[in-house]
Amino acid sequence: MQLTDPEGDAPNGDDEDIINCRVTNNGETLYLRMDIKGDGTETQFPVMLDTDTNVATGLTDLDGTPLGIGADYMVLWEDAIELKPCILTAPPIDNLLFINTISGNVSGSIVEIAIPLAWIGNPDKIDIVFIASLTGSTDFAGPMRYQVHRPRPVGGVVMSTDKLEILTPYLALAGLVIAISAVIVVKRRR
Amino acid sequence: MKDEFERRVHGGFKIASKHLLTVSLLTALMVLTTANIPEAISKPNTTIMIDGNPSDWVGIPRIAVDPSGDEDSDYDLTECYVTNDGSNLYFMIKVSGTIQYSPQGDPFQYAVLLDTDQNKLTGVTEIPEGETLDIGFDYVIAGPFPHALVSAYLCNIIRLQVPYSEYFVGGSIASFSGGILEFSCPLSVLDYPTAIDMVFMSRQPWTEFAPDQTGSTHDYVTYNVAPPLIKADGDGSDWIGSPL
Repeated sequence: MQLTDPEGDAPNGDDEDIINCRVTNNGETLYLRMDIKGDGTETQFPVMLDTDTNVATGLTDLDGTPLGIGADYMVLWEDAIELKPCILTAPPIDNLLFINTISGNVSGSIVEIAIPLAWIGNPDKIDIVFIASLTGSTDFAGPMRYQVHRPRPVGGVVMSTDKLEILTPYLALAGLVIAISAVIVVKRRR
Repeated sequence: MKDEFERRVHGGFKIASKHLLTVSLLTALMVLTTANIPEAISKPNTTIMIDGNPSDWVGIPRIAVDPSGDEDSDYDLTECYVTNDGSNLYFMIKVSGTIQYSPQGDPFQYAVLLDTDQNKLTGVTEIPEGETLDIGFDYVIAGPFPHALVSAYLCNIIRLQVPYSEYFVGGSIASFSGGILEFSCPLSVLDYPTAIDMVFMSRQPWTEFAPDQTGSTHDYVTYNVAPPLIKADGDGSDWIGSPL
């Protein structure tokens, strides 16, 4: 799913001008991407996630700018760390709950983030707002409602690669055949 | 005479048959008792909740086993597990006693050394205690320790380079319960390796290793990383063809 945001609407220039946002998942991981008009390397790009799609629960504004959602989770970037690891947190914003470090990177004009769906409660749908920096006066894209895709199981049984484990039932069968044969032999001899 | 001979032969055969029957039945019983019919297992690569509960590791094979009783029980590594999903690498360490933590972080109680390029020449081969390893580790994840700001236990993720330098690249939530320690590491922090050589350690100064350091040339284990659908690395090329 993707969302196009108008070019040139960022108050702080091209480096904070979100022009396209995409979301996908594989049933286990939620992938987010933002395309920036300029160079995003020096900028932080928070993402707000409303996983219960209920505006009455969660964070509803950033520095007074309404989000249009009630964000239950936030993706933030720890700027104090050289490699800018991406962190998953939960509001309130003045007392953030640190959930964990997640995969994410900014390179040139592309921002990418990967979030384990289980860590945000395995929602069926999510309202998402993409933001160009952690302030109310920047470019906002969204909200967009994303329906989480659940791949159907392909069926089948996962088998062990341990040879002994594979052979064990056949060994048991062979043992039984031997036992039954022995019983028959004994009975015949009698 | 003939009858006596036949009786003896017949009697001997009967005894032999009975022994055969007993042995066969015992064999069948033993094999059936230990029979492990292959059954559906959970996905080998899956998201793990970092909660100190090992239930979501069911079906994931252990990557390293270490004999029990070769170290103080709280540091006596017995089993180590690794898996990954599309975002993180997950670790579980089991000890025969109870997981310990360092109030100040350093010295660390448990660690895993990661050679993410599988190249001994590009990483650190010697730990401070002088032990020389068969891997050149590029990262170390060590902990757990309480972190006041996040009100949780963390493991530090540290990057190492040759000539020797180290710098902190991130903190990861650690959770432990009894003899089980769980933690994770974002794949993007490790630059999405395809396979990782690793050694688990405990009790700094490090005295316990899994696998044991025997002086051979292969005292490490290798984890093959299941490739993610998309790498969150800032290169958008892998979005082409992804379901939107």
